[in-house]
Amino acid sequence: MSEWGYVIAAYALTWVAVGGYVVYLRVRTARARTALDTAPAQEAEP
Amino acid sequence: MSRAAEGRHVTAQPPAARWLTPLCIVSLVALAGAQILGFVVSPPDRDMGHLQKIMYVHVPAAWSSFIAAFVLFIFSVLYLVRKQERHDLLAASAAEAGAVLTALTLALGSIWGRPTWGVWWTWDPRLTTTAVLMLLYVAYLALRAFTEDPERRARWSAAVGILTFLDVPIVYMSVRWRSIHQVPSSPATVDSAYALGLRLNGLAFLLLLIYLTAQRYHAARLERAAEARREEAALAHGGVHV
Repeated sequence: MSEWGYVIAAYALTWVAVGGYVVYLRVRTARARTALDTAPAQEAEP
Repeated sequence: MSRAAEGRHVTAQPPAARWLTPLCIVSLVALAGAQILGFVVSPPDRDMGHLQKIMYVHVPAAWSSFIAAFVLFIFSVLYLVRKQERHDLLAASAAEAGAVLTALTLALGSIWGRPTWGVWWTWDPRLTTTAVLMLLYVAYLALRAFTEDPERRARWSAAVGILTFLDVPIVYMSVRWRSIHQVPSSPATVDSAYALGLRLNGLAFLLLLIYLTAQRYHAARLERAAEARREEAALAHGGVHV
């Protein structure tokens, strides 16, 4: 692999890792928000 | 419930935290901007050529993983002293971001090491102690995942959190122990042509670490609040029939 190949691989990996983790956190937060919003409905059930 | 007792558990409805999305955008834009500037202003290194540009992601990722370990240490100590759940959640949030950044540091170091040292991995003191840091982060997160009792989980993980941070000075000093790794790169040790790019990328990664920890903490608070509501509902439901 050329010099630039390693450089591009490093930057691509950085963005995959950072972007992937950001997406994971956003999805996890959205799911937690949904779980919290639906929790009172469960409480209201007889 | 007394005010002191209320502070021990994070079960109230967490605020919306609308500032997280702007912080996310600013962090990612700052990261992209710092990387572009690093590319534009830095000439090829005399020995490594353009491979030097990997420094702008590898070194700030390592710095951020150290800062995450420091945050983990502070909130672990605070938890052991004050027994407040928010300290436990903040420690865990920093630990998760730290684990991601340490894994990234190791992977980027491997990509940098292959063309410069000729190997993807070697049991060099710097690499080995960084791998130990990664294992400590993983042990911390595994302990949390497999311990059900919240108080025991928080207490034990705080102990592992403190232990995790104790590895950071060892990682920092390890380049002095017959290591093939270069001395720590910082604006003070690199040529002035590279200092600005390194500083800006360091700041961008710091901003990113703040965002990742805050976002993870917000998710944890929402999850705890939902769990508390479900427990309250279950208790109320059971109370009707008993």
